[in-house]
Amino acid sequence: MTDRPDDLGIMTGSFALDAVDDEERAGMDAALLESAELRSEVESLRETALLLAYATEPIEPPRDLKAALMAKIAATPQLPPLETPVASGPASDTTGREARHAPAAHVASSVGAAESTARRRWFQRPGALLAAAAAVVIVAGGGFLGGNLVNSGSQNTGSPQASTSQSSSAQLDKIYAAADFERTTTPVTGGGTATVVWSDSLAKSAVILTDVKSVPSDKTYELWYIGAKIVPAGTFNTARSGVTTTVLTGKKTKDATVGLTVEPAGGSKQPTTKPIVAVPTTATSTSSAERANSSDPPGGSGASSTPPSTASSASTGESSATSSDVASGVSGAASSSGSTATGQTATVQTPVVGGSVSAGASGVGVSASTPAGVGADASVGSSGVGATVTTPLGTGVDAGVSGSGTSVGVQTPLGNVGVQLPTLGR
Amino acid sequence: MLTLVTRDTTGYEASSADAPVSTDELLVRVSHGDQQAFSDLYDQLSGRVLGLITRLLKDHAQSEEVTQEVFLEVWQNASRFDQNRGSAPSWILTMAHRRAVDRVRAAQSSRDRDTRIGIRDFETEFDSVTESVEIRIEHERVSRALARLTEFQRQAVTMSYYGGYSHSEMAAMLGVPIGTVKTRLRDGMIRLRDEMGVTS
Repeated sequence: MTDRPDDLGIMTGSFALDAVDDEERAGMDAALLESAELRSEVESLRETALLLAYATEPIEPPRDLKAALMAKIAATPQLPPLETPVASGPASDTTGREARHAPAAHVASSVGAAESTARRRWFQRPGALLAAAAAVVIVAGGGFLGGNLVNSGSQNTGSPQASTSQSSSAQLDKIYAAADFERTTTPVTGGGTATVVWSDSLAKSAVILTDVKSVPSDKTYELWYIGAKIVPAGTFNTARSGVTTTVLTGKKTKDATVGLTVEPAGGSKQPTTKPIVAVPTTATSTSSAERANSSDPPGGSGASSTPPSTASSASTGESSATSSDVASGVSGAASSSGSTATGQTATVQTPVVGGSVSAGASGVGVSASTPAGVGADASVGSSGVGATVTTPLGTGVDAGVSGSGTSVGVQTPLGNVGVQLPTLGR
Repeated sequence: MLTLVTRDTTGYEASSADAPVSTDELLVRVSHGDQQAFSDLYDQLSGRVLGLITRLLKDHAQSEEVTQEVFLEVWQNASRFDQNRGSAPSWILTMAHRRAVDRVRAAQSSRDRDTRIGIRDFETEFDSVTESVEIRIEHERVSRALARLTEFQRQAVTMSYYGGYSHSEMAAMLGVPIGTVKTRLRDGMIRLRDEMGVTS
């Protein structure tokens, strides 16, 4: 037996046929990252191996297999950025089962380096994918059990009020259970996704980060409600891998944008860096007429069944054309006022590249500075946004950021900031 | 790109089932929690998945169990599927093979399989009647390509892919150095690739 590194070159056939052991697979995975030549050979041999699969005779499974499976998936959460709610009860059922396949330590190591993993072909690391899946299942299920997984943001010094971590998972459950539950999922610059869930009737929201890198110990993630004012809503750091759920502290005002920035440890009173996530919590207007009653002014209790306004429907429509060369797409309706927003349901997915800023019609929510490693494009999304968006961004904002593309000067208290204006209207 | 996705707590999305939908498209829908798409995807691919797994595991009950695991994994991991990196059937069959191999190796007690798997076994395994022309053609194509390999290459390739043997297991069984098995597998696969015109 030879174990020289150059042996990997002759192991491509074994690898493609799954004839390697775990250790060899790990070695090969690493080597594949280094060598394009090796990758190309492995890919072609994988394709070849699939023809061997195609040549086997199909066997129709018994009917009850499908019935059992359909029941199972109905109770099984999916890996984000999927749209299945992080359901509590049934999720736990699969947790224990999957956990056997993926010890926690393995999970952490295999999905920790999100970027390098992402560059690998899916077929190179089925084990890692499995582990990642299991990890998410564990976290999704366990998030409602373990307080450390559901952050309350309570350690934030800049945050006026902090919910106790004890109650945060209960709050999250309430948000999910709310009649006017809303959700938006957006990719996060630097990797991972952010899902913002909220309920206007509860005036609460939560952010679920998946595979978002942790910040170093001298930094923290900080959440913000960006409305007429920018209000700190808690700090936290993400788990090394997997899913981190944080319920924002304080009350969400209607149409406020939920922002996420990287701040010095301890948090800031006002954002000092550009948001890496900015999601308007505007009720969308595209479906579920039965939810129309749920839109109330913050704190209100009456049922206002205002039909969707033109403004909000226009802004939630087909905005996809705009974002290819625009720094970011910003999701959500920017309805003209709270009174026209409805509690109707839709999920808007939007990539955020280089940090995005969104402005509701109230014209709020702007980022100005760029944390290291995050793209330099600022953007403001709003339907019917004027040439100038005034932002109450506070202290410590760098004004030196300029966007590319269709730049529009945005007045901030700190100077001009170049922004991208995605055309959100149809 | 802004994508508007209807959220529905049951996970069902309105899928226009009128036109036939590609498995790739179905898988994308599955990634959004579309259970109907999952059902359709299952209908289209479960036969292949179970066929492949049964080929390795022989035992029907176990094979069905693993098939279920595979599709559960498909459900959970659908968001990780990247159309640019291969088709949905490839993605799913790759997972299925990997799982079947893991299962075979875990079950040492059932490792009393014939070590002399080769082209002849490949043929006899496929003896039963198949209605699908497509699969017949695919099978013939693979048979022809396998026939172009050396006996040793063929044995190594079929033992590993259809038998789930690792190269070190094969080296021990065949009494040859592991490097020899690796070379046979690689040369055999490259030959197969070229015979079948696989480009990647």
